[in-house]
Amino acid sequence: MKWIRVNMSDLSVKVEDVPKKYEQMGGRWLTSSVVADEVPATCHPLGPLNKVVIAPGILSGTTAPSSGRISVGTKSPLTGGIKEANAGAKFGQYLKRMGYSAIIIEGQPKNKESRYLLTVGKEKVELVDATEYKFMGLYELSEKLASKYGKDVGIASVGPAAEHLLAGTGVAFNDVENRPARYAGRGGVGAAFASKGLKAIVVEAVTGQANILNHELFETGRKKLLSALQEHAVTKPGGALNTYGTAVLVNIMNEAGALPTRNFSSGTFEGAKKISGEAMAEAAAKNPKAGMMGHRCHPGCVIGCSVIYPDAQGNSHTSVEYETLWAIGANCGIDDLDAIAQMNSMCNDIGLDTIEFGDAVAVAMEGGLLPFGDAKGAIALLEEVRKGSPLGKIIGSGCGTVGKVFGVRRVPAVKNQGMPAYEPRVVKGIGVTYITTPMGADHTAGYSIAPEILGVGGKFDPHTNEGKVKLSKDFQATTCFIDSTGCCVFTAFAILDIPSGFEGMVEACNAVTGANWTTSDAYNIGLNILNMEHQFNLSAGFTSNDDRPPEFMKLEPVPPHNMVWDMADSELDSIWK
Amino acid sequence: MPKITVALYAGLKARALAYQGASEFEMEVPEGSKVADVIKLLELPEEDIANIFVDRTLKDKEYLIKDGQRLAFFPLIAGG
Repeated sequence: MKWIRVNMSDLSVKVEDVPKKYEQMGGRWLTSSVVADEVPATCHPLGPLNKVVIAPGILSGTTAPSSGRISVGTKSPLTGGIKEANAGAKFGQYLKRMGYSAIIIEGQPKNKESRYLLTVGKEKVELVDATEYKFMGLYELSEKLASKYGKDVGIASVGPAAEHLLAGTGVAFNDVENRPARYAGRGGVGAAFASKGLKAIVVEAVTGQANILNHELFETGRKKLLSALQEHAVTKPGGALNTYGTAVLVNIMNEAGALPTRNFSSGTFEGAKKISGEAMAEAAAKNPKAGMMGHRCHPGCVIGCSVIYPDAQGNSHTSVEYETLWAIGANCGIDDLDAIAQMNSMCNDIGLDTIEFGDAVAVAMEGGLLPFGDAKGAIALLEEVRKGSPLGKIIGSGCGTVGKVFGVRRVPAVKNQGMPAYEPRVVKGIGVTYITTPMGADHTAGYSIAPEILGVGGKFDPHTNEGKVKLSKDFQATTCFIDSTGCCVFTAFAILDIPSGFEGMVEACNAVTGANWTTSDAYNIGLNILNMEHQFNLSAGFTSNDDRPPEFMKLEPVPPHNMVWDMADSELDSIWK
Repeated sequence: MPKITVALYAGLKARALAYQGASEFEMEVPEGSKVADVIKLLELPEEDIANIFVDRTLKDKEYLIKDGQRLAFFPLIAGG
C-alpha cells in the first residue's frame, strides 16, 4: 500500500510506500498512530506542526457490507487532545481502490490568503490553486467541483466556518448524490484541515474492489457479517434504522427521561414527538418526491439509516440525524422540525458540527443571548457564523467558549467538547464514556446506550454505577477496532447480539491484511489504540482532572429522575488501570 | 379501575388492534393488572415488544400497574 504526503509549506506532494508498522492498519488505528508518532503532542492544533490524517478503513473499498467509513485524525483544536472523527462516504472507497491507505497533510502555506485543492487520480496527485473557492458554501462548491471533475468524484471539503478556524467545525464528504452532507463532524477537524490552506480534496471515481489477499476467507467473512446485519431487528431491511432513521431514538430517550432538554436542565422534552424519526417518516411518506427514508450514505451500505427530510415548502434536507434533532431541537427547546432541518442544511453548508452548534446555542440561550425555543434567532446566529462576525466566531467555537463569554456555569462539556444526546446523570455508562474517552464527550466512542436503554447487546440498569466502567471500557475498545475496519459503528448493534457477525468482520479484515486475528485479538487491538490515544493526551498535558464531568452535574439533580452524577472520581480513573 | 396513559412508538400503533391509529391515549385497566395484561388488552404483538417504560423507567411485563402511571412500548430499536 501507499500513502500520500502533502506538505503545505512547500506545496509538495509525495506518494510513499506505507512503512511496515502501519501496513495492516486502517481508519482510526492508522490516523491515531500517525498523529501519535508524527505530531508533537504540545503543538498548537492550528499551527504548522499539527497534521491532518485522512484514512479509509481496512475494509473500505471492498464489498464488505457497510464498510465505507473514512476517518479524519488530528490534534483537536477543540479539545487540545487527539481526535478521530469519521463519516460514511464514497471518498474513502475510491482512495482504497487506488491503493492509498491514507492522505497525510502537514505544514502550512506562507500565504494565508491562498486556498488549495488536492486532486487524487489514478495517474496523478497534485495540488492546484483554489483561491476562487475561498469562503464558498459547500453546496455551491460541490456543484462546481462535480461539474469540473465529474459527478461521481469523491469530495472532502471545509466550509467558511472552518476557514474562520473555528473549533466547532468538521470535514464534509459528499454523498452518493454529491451533497456535502456526510460529516466527520466533531472536535474541530474542519478547522485543522482549513488551517493547512486546503479547501477541498477531490478523488477520482474508481469502481471495482480494493486489494484482497485471500478471496475465499473474505467471502466467508463478508457473508457472516452480511447475514448478521440482515437478520438483526435494528439493522435489517425494513428494520428500525432503515424505517425511521437514527431519530427513532428521540422518543425512547424521552420516555427514559434521558433526553437532555434546554441545556441539560431536564431529561424530557414536551415537543419530542414532533422532532422524532416517526414524524420524519410520516413527512417523507407524504412527499416521496422530496423526502426519503432508508437513504444510504455510501455505496454498499446495507443498513440505510440516512434520512432526506422534506419540509413544508418541498425542500429536501440531507441527512437529518438524531443527534442534530436533539442538539438544535430539544436541547434548544425548539420543536419546529422544518426549522431544525433548515439549520441542519445550513450547518452542512457552513461547515459546522451540528452537535457542537446546538450545545453552543443552548448555552447562549441560558446566558440570555436569545430565549429557548427561538428558532429564528438560532438561524440568525448561523448567518453570523458564516460571516465570521465576532458573535459568529464565539458561537462557532463551541459551547465551552460560549459559556465563558456569557458567564454560564452549566456547560455540558468534557475536555471542552459538547455532550451529545444522552443525559449522563441518568445513563451512567454513557457518562463514563463521555468523561473518559480521549476524544472529549463523544457518544460513538463507547455506545453503552445499547445495553443500558435499548436492550441490545445485553441489559444493564442505566441508573446504577455498578459495572459501568468495565462496560464503557469494553465498548470503547471494541469501537476503536470497528472504527479501524471502516465498518459503520451501527454494525455493532447486530454483532453484539450475533457473535458470528463479529467473527465475519474480523475474518474479512484478515483476508485483506494477511493477519490472523481472532475476535479477542480485535478487542486487544482496540484497547491498544485507546491507550495510545490516552497517552497522547497525557503528553499534551492532560491529567486525571480532565477525566471529570462538568461540576453542575454533581450538584444539580436533573428531572424527572432527579439524579446527579455520583460516581467516585477514583472509579473513573480505574478505567486506565 | 386504575386509569393509565399508554404511548406506542416505532410502528407499534399500526399493529395494535385497540385504539388503532393513536400513538398515545388513556385507558382504564382492571385492578391488579400487570404490564402483560395491557399488552393482551391492546392485542399488541408481544414478540415485537422489546422495551417497556413505566413512568420513565424500564420495567418488565410482570410489573404491577398503579393508577395514573404512564406506559410506553417500543420494539427493538437503536440509533445514535
